[in-house]
Amino acid sequence: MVLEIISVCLKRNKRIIFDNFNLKLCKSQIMILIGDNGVGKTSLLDLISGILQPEKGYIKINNVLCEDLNSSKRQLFTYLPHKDALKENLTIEENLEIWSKITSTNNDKRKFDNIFRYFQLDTIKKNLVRNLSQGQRKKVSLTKLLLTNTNLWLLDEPFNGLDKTSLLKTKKLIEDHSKKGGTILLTNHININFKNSLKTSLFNLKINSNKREMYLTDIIDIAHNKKIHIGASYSEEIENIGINNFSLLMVC
Amino acid sequence: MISDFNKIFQRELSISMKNFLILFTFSSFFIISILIFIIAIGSKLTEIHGLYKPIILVTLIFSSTLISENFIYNDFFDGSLKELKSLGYSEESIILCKSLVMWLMVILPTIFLMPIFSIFFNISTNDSFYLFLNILFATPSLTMISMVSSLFSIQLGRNKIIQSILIFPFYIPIIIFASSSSNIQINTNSHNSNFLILIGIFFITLPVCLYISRLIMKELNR
Repeated sequence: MVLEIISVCLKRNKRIIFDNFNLKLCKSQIMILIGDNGVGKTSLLDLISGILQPEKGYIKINNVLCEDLNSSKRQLFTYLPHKDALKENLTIEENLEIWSKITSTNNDKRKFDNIFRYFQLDTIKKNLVRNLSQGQRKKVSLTKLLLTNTNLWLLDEPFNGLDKTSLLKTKKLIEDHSKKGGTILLTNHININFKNSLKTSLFNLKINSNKREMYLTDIIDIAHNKKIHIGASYSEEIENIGINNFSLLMVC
Repeated sequence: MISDFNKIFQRELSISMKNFLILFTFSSFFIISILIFIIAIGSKLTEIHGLYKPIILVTLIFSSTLISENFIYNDFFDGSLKELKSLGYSEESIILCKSLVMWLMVILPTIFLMPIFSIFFNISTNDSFYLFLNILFATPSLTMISMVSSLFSIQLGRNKIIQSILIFPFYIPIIIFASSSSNIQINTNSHNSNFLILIGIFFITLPVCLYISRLIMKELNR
């Protein structure tokens, strides 16, 4: 298993976000976390990346407990939070060079030039970040993925603010990473259809309004090209997909 | 650990090098505040002579508190602090590097403006030299405390009044020993003893500030 979340409990501002929460991700798997605002999608990514500490339970990455990982973290996963962490007074190139240094990834000048071409940033690489649009900033942020050698990617709303071409390129980037054996956990507000052959899972987070606890309500393997109606009830989805093609990965 | 420290230090240095406006803001605020005192007192140079150390220190405290926000606020609001944490860098390393870069890039150049103030305050070359040394040894502690102050400021929702009340006690020992070095007689050479006390204060301030910073940074992510 690349990622294992076992019986995790998380509280934020005296509110229970997760209680006895479990999740497992294996090699080549893409998991899309969807859900309304405030359900805890970002909290889950923060928890995995070690920004938040669970009250109970534990998280393992590549069978190593997260709390035992310090600087070795940056060789195991890449986390792109919703905020892009780009410095306004620096150029795109300088921002990525700094990022490359702090993540301990050795990238030569030639590799950098090739990487900029992927999202068509090569012509504007000397521009200051403060002069970029939101979409361009997002592309700079996503370019970080091309600089890393990590297996696990944690992406917080990676498609926000992107134009159609960039969205497709981002999708391809994720699919290619999955094909190479990489694992991706990403959040989004709507489902993204990746190539059918890929091991893609949809994970719909919902809040139980009575207990203020979060439950995993739907975990659906969509590798068999079955369309899932977001927002439909659990039983409806089972009916739509057919029970034989439905694979339950975990229960919370 | 040293490699981590080196990486963050280089990051902070690269960012600060591109942001000379910070140095300009700090220096202009510092010089203008001192000039206000000098203009207010006018030609009564004998009155201002005894006050030059507290004036410079208080101005330095306000200037460093003002400027430290540039090092913390931006990183907090653009997600850099979160990013560094997710990459496995400790809170202590982050704050220590930021403080060191702030001291090197902003405070240290201003300390070299001290000879100009000796003209304004009509102080002798000897006193000017000791003022330089006092400020040199007092500023590392002031920088650390101003970093904690900025973190408090974010944590308390920019409530400057609570921030000042919480942080002010930390400044008191530094103000006492940096501003009255010629009045306190511990050894025969008062200047030397005060420098040693200021260095001692720094070694107490350093772990305390790092510990508090760590707690606040953890709290910020909650």
